[in-house]
Amino acid sequence: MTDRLLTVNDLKTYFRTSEGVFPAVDGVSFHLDKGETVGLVGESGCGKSVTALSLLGLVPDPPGRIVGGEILFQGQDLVALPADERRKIRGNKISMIFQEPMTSLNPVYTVGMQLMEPLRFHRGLAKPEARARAIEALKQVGIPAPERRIDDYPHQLSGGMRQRVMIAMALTCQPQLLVADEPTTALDVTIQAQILELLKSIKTTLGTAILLITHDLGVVAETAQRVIVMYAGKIVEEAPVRDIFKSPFHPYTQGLLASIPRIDATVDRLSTIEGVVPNPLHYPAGCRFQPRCPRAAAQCVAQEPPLVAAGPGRRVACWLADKGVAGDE
Amino acid sequence: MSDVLLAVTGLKKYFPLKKGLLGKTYGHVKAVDGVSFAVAKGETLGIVGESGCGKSTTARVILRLIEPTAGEALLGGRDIFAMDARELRQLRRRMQIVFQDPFASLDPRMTVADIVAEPLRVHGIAAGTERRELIRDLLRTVGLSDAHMGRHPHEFSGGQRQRIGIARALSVKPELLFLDEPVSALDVSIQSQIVNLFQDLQQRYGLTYIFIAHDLAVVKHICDRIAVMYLGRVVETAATAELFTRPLHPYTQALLSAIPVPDPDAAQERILLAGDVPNPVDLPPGCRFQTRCRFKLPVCAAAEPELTDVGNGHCLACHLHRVSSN
Repeated sequence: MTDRLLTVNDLKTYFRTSEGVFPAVDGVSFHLDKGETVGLVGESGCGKSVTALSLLGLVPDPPGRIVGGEILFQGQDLVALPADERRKIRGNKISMIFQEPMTSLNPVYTVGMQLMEPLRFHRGLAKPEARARAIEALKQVGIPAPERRIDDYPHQLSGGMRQRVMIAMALTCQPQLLVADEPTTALDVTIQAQILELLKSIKTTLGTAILLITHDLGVVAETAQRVIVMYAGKIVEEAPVRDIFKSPFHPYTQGLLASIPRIDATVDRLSTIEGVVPNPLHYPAGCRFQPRCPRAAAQCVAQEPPLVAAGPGRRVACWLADKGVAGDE
Repeated sequence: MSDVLLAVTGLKKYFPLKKGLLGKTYGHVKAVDGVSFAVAKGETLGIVGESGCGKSTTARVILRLIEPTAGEALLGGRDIFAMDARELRQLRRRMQIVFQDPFASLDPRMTVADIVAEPLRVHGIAAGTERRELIRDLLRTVGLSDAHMGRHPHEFSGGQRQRIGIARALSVKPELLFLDEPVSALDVSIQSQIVNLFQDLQQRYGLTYIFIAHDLAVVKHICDRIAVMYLGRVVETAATAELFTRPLHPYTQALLSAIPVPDPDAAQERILLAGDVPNPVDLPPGCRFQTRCRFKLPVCAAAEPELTDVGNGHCLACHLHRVSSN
């Protein structure tokens, strides 16, 4: 395939803790094509953010480490790359925006200095040139009066503005891949709408592929073409966005969709997924969702279901889905 | 309205801004600036708005966790702000709050039993085995078990901690419960469990809720009536169904249209608001929303619109409606 940008094969990122080894990402495989937006969803602790950090080579070591698998970016395995080579890719070809715009900008440098850093480092631009490009980048993300704002410090900007600066910073080197980890979670809805609009326009004007990590299924429905659902360190389902919302296969995906209150429908009582996410130090036998699954059968306890193809562009890891049981509504 | 439990009129809370060695006041953050609403017995009123609109401050002032600058709040006809220390203690048995962050609102060094027992001790309710029995009942009510009594908060997940916070609030058998973003910090699958718990408790004990949140889908699900706040003021109130089908204030319209719908086929017409919320220290004269409003009229810069009933208990603070209906 010619337009394959990123292929992740059997990625395993584990954390060593005093109580044992914590498999945060436990054998995850997926791909991303040029210019597409893929939503990575799941609840806290499912491994979605650690997947993102692994792509960037930002897993804190110790205690974390990529213990297996490969990350092929444009044919090159990032896991095997030495640190200085990875640094040339990070912020250049792959960049990332974080959830907290307050804590991810450096408070003692002006916005301009932080924007110019990747340009000077990766592109070797001289200061005036880098400054001009930084102003251009601020304009692109819709910051009014960028010539003045460039000399502001982060605390002088509102939350939405800071997130725009973060996005501008991530885009300065025109990356092929943008990893956005909960980019709108800390923002108010009206500001969130502005930022989502911005991300959509980036995709069309720059052709940047986006891996959008979020727990908000509404945000995914609106921005992604494909959706990957994670649970307890594993991918449980992957499908084109319409299929995920119209005919989810995995009981977990079904449970998630059923449990969100909706603005476009009214129900007397929300449905729930009983129980809680299992402790990563003691995952249950067989399928990790099995203790909470309303349909768990003997096989689910005995054996872990593999992630297998289930129709065009779809994969699911569930013993029941294969038999066509989980597909009915 | 029949059976009003809480009536708030002209509530204000200004926080002074100080500078210099002598702490000279040079301005005020008008966090709550003339808020009025009423809550009937057994109903759930939602207060929505974006960060900094004053929704949490409103709750804290009514609970007298902080002192008001001006205004009146009547609980069952008695003025909360005129109460002395003794009356205030009685008041706290009638009103309780559940906080947003279940990680920060429980003392990490106390056991679950101690946390739930604290309000009982403070108010001198029950003692000895009777108190223990009461705590056991409370924990069961919120979906926890006896086995949890001796444990500490860090041993629990976010959803379970929120259940502990709810048990604590219920221990004094309050009539009115402020729920300040009670499910915002929780995962979706846990969020629905807690929302259902609130509904069960309301039915069982006839509780009145003031539900403060920024997630409008949750608010729509649980609330009977909604008040929309913007920069320290209520700009619109209406019954939930009415507000969602016929939002009148331009801010409410934008807010509702900004909610992402979990349906890829939903044809949504989005009203994008330009710019950010203005600084609550120097507000524009006239309507607070005018700087971001699509329909701004000359009158909007001149006078602040008052909250007025436009029919069926639908209240609105906007010049636009008056101009168009005249």
